[in-house]
Amino acid sequence: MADSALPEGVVEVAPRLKLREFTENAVDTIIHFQVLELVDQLYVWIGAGGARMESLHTAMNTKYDNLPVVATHFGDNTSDGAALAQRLSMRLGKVVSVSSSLPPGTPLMQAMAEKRLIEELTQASEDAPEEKADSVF
Amino acid sequence: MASQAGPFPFPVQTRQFAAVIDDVHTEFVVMGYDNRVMVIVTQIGKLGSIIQAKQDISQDGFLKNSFSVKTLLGRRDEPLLEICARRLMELLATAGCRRPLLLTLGLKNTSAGTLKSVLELIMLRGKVW
Repeated sequence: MADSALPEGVVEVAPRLKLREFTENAVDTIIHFQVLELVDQLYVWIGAGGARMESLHTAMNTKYDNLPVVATHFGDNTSDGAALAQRLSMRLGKVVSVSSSLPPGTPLMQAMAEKRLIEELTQASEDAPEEKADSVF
Repeated sequence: MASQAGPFPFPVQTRQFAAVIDDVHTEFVVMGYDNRVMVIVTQIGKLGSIIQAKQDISQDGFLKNSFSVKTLLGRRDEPLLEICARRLMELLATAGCRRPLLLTLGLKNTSAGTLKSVLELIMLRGKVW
């Protein structure tokens, strides 16, 4: 596209935030993941069967409780997503926003999804420092 | 900069881009989910304010020419943020997008000029609809 199409005072540069997209093949389900690494924050989307965004929860640590506080912005009557956000936030010490469309009442799938997520995030934390989000801003 | 694994095409269409707007580095991630478009704009490395916008539907199920905006998390003292979300939803609707919008704005600079550039960049580079 021509640069003249860009607004004035705007210079396009290469994006540097790390967005990881991966898929977990379970016995009878396929689970898709998106993980966006931000500064002291994570956005996680989990999709089972399709690409719907059904809910959004954000969890963060406070000084008032050992358990992170979690807010549900929309969706998810069963609070599985909220619980996942809370556990991730506690484990990683970051603000974690989770959007999960895993079906309710499937503890095995939840556990598997969480396990795969932690694996990927542990691998991500071994990235070189210049690849981390803090170096971008 | 998405890393993919597996032989399946990833079901979510995403567009990632960045720009320097009024001297501030700005990262964009646009995700096209089946039932929603999510746009992440950040200059501070965090999601910032999370704002939901949708086109109103009449009682008989027809699309109206008005939009609803709701701040789900974040700053409620900066009206330009909701105006930005409303304007973006309007632009998406005009472009034929039937999905509601979730916009996150983590901005250092919330001037009208920056927000205008943000909107233009999203429409230029972020087409997942």
